[in-house]
Amino acid sequence: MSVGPGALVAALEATIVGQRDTVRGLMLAAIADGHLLLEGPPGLAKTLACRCLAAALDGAFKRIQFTPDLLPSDVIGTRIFDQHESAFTTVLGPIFANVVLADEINRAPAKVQSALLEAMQERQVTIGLESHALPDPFLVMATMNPLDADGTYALPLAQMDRFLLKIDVDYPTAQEEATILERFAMRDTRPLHGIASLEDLQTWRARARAVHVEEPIKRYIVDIVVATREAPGAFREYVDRGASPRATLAIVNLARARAVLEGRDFVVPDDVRAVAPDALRHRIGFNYRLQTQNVDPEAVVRAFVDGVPAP
Amino acid sequence: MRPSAFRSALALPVLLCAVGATAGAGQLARLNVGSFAMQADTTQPKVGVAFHVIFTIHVAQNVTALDDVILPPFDPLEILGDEQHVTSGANGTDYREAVTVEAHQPGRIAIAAARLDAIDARDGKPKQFLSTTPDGKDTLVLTVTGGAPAAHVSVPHVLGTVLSLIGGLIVVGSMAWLVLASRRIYVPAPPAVEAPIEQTPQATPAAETIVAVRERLRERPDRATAVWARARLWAGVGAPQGATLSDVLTRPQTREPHLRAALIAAERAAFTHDADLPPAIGAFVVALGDL
Repeated sequence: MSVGPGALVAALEATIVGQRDTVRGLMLAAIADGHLLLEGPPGLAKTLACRCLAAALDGAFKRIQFTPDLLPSDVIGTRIFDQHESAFTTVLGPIFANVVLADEINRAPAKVQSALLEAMQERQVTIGLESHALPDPFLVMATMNPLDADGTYALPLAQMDRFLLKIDVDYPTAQEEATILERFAMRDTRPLHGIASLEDLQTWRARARAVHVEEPIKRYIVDIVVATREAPGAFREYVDRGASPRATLAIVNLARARAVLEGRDFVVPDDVRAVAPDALRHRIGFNYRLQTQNVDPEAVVRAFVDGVPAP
Repeated sequence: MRPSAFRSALALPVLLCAVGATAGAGQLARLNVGSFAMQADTTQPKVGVAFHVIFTIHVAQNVTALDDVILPPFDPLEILGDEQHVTSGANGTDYREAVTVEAHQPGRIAIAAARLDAIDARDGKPKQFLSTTPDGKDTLVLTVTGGAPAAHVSVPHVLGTVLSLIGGLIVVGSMAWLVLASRRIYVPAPPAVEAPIEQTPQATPAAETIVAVRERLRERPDRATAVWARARLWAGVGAPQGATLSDVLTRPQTREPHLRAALIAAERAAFTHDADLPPAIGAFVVALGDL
């Protein structure tokens, strides 16, 4: 029997305390068939969230810890010589899973980042002369740690653009922290398995693709993205480069996914306004003034979104 | 179709955007926009103290209304009221809209420019005009400060205040004595009246508006009418243009369950897919009937 996405959200929230944005981002990425970038300090249940999603979907989960000495073959796989068979055989890398956690993606050198991001885009990898399709569904959740920037390789804007959305993970409230203590220190709380199937996820995705978007909503989305490039205003001076057209597509896909999560088959302006910051915050090129004047980039993104009147 | 909201860095009255959408251009007013200003009573409002954000437009034409003025979102300010005045004369038309707002927390607030969509009478092209602040910018930046600052205390000020209070008490006491004395002679004691219970102001759309919207939806159950009806309902509850449903539903004026149901039904009718449009409009009409 197929279940709705609400059951999966409930399963995730039964394990993960607070972090509603992370849960919401995971669900949006899963339904919109995109990848998710999480930025936040360590210890905020980013790995747990990813593991819970894979468990709840009964999908394969792999975690890759990115380090400065990681090689592309450590991610996608390699060919090794089998002495018994006297032939080369292919060993697939950890990227061959339904849910992949790329932990601290900015710790790996550019060539490893490129290998991962190319696989994310193409949904297949080439090892030697053979091409291997990645499993479907395939969701990459990458994390970045903003506190510890030493020895990191910053992701270029063009590569961040490959992620459908970016969520900034923040610390839980005191009440949530008390619940975490109760749930994980006093009890043995484990991820729930088999809440929905991979087929259910495919059904939700098909439903999202069929979600209706009226003309004024399409214009609203375009206006928001164009505002990041052209809109005058107090925050304009902090932006060097606005969002790409891929942001437009990201917003519409995320808005459709949100409509499915809310049980609708049409997008409303609230969907767009809710997801637009997630699609834009990693696609806008901020300049040095933002840091020197200690301006919150989130406020700039929010100003761009709120500056465009909803239809 | 309205021109898109693309903006340029140039301020008014410079052309902001020209769209070659001649099909929709016929719906816009043909105007010669002379000025479009936005300002606030104060650039440093205080928490909990209402103030006004005022938009003024001057056009050379003699018109009775400017329907295509789109106000910006005022978040996180709470909107308490909205007044419009249109004055027409030989020199054209002056439009003034004052939005009464109140801040609930200190901090910096940027209010984006208001927008006027119109056909520029000078070249016949549909354009967007943005409001500018007195210092020529298109964003009004306000710094909300905490509660009212402590008054400057001085001896003459304190003496003046005390004397005023004593004087006031004498006047009030005299009036009360006169009233009581006159009541003793001529007037029976009035029945005790309970203090009125303070209620949240309700901004339910006027009954005639609801009837007009419902009738038009029945006569022409199509998308355009649904969008028009939604806009009327939005305006009826005092929501600014450009607000979303969640903005409207968080307003204290929309706590009434039937009104909320009508607003949600309006949203569905405006944005649902074509196959769902007839039942959506039907549900909208029913919800309006419950108001």
